[in-house]
Amino acid sequence: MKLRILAVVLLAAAASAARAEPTSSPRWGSFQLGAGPYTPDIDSEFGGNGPYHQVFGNGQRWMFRAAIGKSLYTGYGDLEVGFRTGYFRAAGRAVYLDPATNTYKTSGDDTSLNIIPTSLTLTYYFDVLAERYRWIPITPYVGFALERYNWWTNTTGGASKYGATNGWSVTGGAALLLDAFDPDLARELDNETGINHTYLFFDVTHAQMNDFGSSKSWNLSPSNTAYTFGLLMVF
Amino acid sequence: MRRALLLALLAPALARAQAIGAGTINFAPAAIGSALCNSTATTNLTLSFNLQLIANASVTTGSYIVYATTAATTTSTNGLTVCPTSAGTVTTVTASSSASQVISVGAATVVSVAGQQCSNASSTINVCIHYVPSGSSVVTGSAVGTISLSTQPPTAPFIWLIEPASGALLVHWNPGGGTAPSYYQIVATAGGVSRYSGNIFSADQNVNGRITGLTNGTTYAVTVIAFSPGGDASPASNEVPATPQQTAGFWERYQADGGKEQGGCASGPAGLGALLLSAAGLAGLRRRS
Repeated sequence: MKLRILAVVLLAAAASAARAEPTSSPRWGSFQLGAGPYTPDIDSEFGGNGPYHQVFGNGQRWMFRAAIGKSLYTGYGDLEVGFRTGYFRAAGRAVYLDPATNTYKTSGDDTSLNIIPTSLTLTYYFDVLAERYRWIPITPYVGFALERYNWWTNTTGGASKYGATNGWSVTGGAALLLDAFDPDLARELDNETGINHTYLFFDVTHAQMNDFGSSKSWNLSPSNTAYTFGLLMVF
Repeated sequence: MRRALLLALLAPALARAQAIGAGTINFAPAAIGSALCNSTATTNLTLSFNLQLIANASVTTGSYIVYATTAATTTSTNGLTVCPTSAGTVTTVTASSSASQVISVGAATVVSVAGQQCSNASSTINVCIHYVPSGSSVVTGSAVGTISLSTQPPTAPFIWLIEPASGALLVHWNPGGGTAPSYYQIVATAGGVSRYSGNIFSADQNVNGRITGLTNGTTYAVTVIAFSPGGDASPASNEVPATPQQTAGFWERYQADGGKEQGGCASGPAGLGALLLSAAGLAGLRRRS
């Protein structure tokens, strides 16, 4: 008897929660801003302790990114093609060979490595549950990207060097639908700006940034597991 | 009674509403140091100004009267900010309707008219330019500025670190006491020849600056000099020997360690082909959807 009552209560709760969301404006695509720690694995050529760490140190640096996507398919989830770019900079001091001790020492010249990553992305957002059930405000997603890291190095009073390193990446993550916390405000935002949904996202990326294994390329892949978090707006 | 109360409340606001302020004066140099103050030159301080005129007034024939005082400025009956009647007159010149308004005066005259002396360590002098039309005693335009008298040099800075750079030196120092420095110069001397950095402006307690144009491998005797706002130089700092060195930036260091990357796009046609092929695949996928 107790089990029957419990089952009826659970069914009633599920039925009330499974109500349909109010109609959103037509979906075009998405825009996202994110950031995550990044250390290029340049020193992997040198057994782990190479020029990158010797010049720039071990401090954590961040890569900032912005992306825009266009929906290709919205039947069951959302498949988007997009473009992503961003900026990364590592700055430190150039070194000089001290003739007295025959060792490298920090000089008064500045040196930096700058990267502007550009990516062509294909991402699938499984937003079916988040769209239908307010109590499951999570949208998992996976993505694949073709990457091109455009980079340059500078040194005070010295020459600059430019280049680009190509590669690919796969990403998996989850986005928390903020609309679930205040549906009325979300609807108002949609009516006024056309932003259907707002998410906080967190994802993990595996990237191979070494010019597809070229013997003349360094490795700009993240040296550790690369994660990114940020804000995703669907409009 | 109520009307009187209302007037009492509104009177200050009405008075404020009538105030129209003054134009501004820019000084060159920006402060009066001992050299300027002790000079007998009569045109070593330039006042560039723009007038604030009262409503419906314009500059035609008349005079610019330059005043100097340490007293505070005041507001005239027609709302202009002006120097008080106690201010001394520096000079009187014929007014010009030119857009570029410049008057040159003697810094020593400004100081003495304001009741100051060059031996004073520091003080602030208000300078006003009043425009008075011919045949009138009413000021119909004014400009106001402040110049500091600063004749005491700072004490010597102290160099605590010099980092070699390529054809340059990066010098770190602390300011000395006394008058707060306005700017610094680094001096590097070798073989009897001295080279000076540009003016390094800083109000920090830990200052650093770069002197360039040096020769790698040559040892220089390096000092730093601090200057007061009036341009009075401090004694030289402690003398520190330093030698510029050829440096290696990140790229040079990477190459010196035997790195594989050559710059440009190392993946060559294969990488570009892979990118184009993938882009074409994505485009095809979109057409099917």
